[in-house]
Amino acid sequence: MSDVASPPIAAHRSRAVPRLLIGLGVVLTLAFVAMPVAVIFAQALSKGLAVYRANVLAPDTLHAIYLTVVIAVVVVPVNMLFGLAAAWLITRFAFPGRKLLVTLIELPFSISPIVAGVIYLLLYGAQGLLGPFLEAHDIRIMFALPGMMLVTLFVTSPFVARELIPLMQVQGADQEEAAVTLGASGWQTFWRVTLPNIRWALLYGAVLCTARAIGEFGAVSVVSGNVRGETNTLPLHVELLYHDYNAVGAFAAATTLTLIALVTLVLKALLERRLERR
Amino acid sequence: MAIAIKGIEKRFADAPVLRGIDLTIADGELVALLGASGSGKTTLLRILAGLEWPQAGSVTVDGRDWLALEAQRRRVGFVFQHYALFQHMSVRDNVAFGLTVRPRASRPPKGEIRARVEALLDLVEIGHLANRFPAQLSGGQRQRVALARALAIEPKVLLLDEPFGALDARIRKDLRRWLRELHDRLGMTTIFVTHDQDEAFELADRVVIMSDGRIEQAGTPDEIYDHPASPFVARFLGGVNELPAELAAGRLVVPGADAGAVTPPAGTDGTATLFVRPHEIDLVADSRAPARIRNMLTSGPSIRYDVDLPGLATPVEVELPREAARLRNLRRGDAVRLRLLRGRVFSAHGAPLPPAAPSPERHRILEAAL
Ligand SMILES: Nc1ncnc2c1ncn2[C@@H]1O[C@H](COP(=O)(O)OP(=O)(O)OP(=O)(O)O)[C@@H](O)[C@H]1O
Ligand SMILES: [Mg+2]
Repeated sequence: MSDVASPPIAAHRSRAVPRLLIGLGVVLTLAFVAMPVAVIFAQALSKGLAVYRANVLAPDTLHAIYLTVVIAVVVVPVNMLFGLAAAWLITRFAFPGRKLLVTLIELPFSISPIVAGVIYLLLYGAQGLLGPFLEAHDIRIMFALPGMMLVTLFVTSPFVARELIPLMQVQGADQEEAAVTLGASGWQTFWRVTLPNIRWALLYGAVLCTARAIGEFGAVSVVSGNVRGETNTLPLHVELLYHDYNAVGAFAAATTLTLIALVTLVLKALLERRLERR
Repeated sequence: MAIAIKGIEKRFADAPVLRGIDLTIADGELVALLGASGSGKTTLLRILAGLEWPQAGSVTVDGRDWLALEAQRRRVGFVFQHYALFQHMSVRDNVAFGLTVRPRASRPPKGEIRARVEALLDLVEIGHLANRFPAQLSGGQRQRVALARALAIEPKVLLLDEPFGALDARIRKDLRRWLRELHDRLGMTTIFVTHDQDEAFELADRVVIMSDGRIEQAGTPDEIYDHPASPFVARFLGGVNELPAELAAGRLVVPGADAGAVTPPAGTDGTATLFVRPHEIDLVADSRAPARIRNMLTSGPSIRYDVDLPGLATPVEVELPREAARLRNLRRGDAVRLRLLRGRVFSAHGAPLPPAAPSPERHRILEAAL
């Protein structure tokens, strides 16, 4: 359709409306995304670079970073394995209860993280269902690293499976069947055919999972016990510093989180481009 | 390898897809599976390849219980309906796959694999595409890669699911001949699925016609064409007139037509249906006859007539060679008598009656016609 052929009013509107919407989008993005991020850095650096450095390198902050990374390093691979297994089961086999399993995998998304934390507390806490048993065997899950890992696992468990299931459904089992008729074992088929075909989606899911594992606040705050320098992850640490009226410290810690988020964003964008190319 | 299929039954969640398939295939035979969409052709191939298991029945290959063997160990070359090429591998790696996944003991050395892949790519005439990826190939080229990949494992049994489905008519014809030569040269047992009747008849030693999970008929192209076992097969082959007939005291009576040349089947009196192909009917001008020529169509070497027969909803199609038509000198609206030279009679409920053989009179009529 050319401008000449279309009636003048339509032509006028067709240019004005997109412009308005684009303008609105830009303003909102600036107000709600760019400005807060800018404020984080401005506040963190408001007392100069040296103070910023000292705050980031404070032992408690470093420990919080360390703890956050440890949790992510454990949780993400476990979730990749879980997501792969679940997606494979759901897309390659027909069994009763398949739909139910899909719903179950999505469940953590619809449960508030705080509630997830409380569920774990009710299960593994001292007064919880398994509390006496755990105490008798001297196993400490709540208010310690294992509990924090468990809730993070719970909260992030759908990410990988959710990326893989639709992709593997579309791809179908054709290529795997071809591999088997050509004499490949199950293992060879997985490594040489299944995995290469889903690797970008798998990585994409892993990136989303990492971002969430690092940023998780609600669920972890319920089960962590907030012991400074021991069970504080970065998001919890930021909150703690803020409540201590240490704004610069809080924002300095927040910049590390923000940087991680930005790196994740870039990775995500790159992976999305890869995924679209396929 | 000789394949014996016995009593195969397959259901998907209670929906029967194969309802008792019996078929024996000789070593080195080229068999076509022909049938309507959804008749179970792919399912049967998948069972032979080990991708699906039947609920009942047996498959024996060279005396060996085939169903006890995993797909991985059957060494069946399978060309999928939608190619199923490995998207992330080059053409070369696709073809080499079956060799590279062999256990170390039986895996050929790298150099030999390379040489064999080159040879196969040349065989299917796509040597120049070795480094491309499947997404960069045309449908026909993908087809050839799929074939080369299946041949790489030196299969004794080759299963092809609509191998030429994606190709245009001319290339199909070329590839048919080419596949036949390949089959003869490599000496495999080959089963291929097709929707295309011409393809099945031209290419195969034996054609198996399937319908709704059953084998309607299996036989050489000539057997099936000349002696269809059921009204279904006769209809399936297409281009056939169905005339209501009466069997009485060993005589076949077709209202409005002269069926003297058709040898009636023995026994069973009653109503029947006569299946006649357009070129098996002759037309004779006869002003007292009830049939009228409704339409005439020239189609190259022959003339087609649509003839209205009283009591028949659809006109009878008749095809005369151009020379015979000239001698008859018939026009639209002329009254004609139908002389049936040949035909196949089925009783009203479709029970196959002994096929009607050509009678001596037919030859006389044919001679007269030409
Ligand atoms: N995995 C499956 N689950 C359920 N039903 C199936 C499955 N595979 C095939 N069917 C059904 O079995 C019937 C036969 O399918 P099949 O693919 O063997 O047909 P076909 O003869 O190859 O048809 P086409 O010519 O269209 O390829 C169809 O009705 C199909 O819907
Ligand atoms: Mg099919």
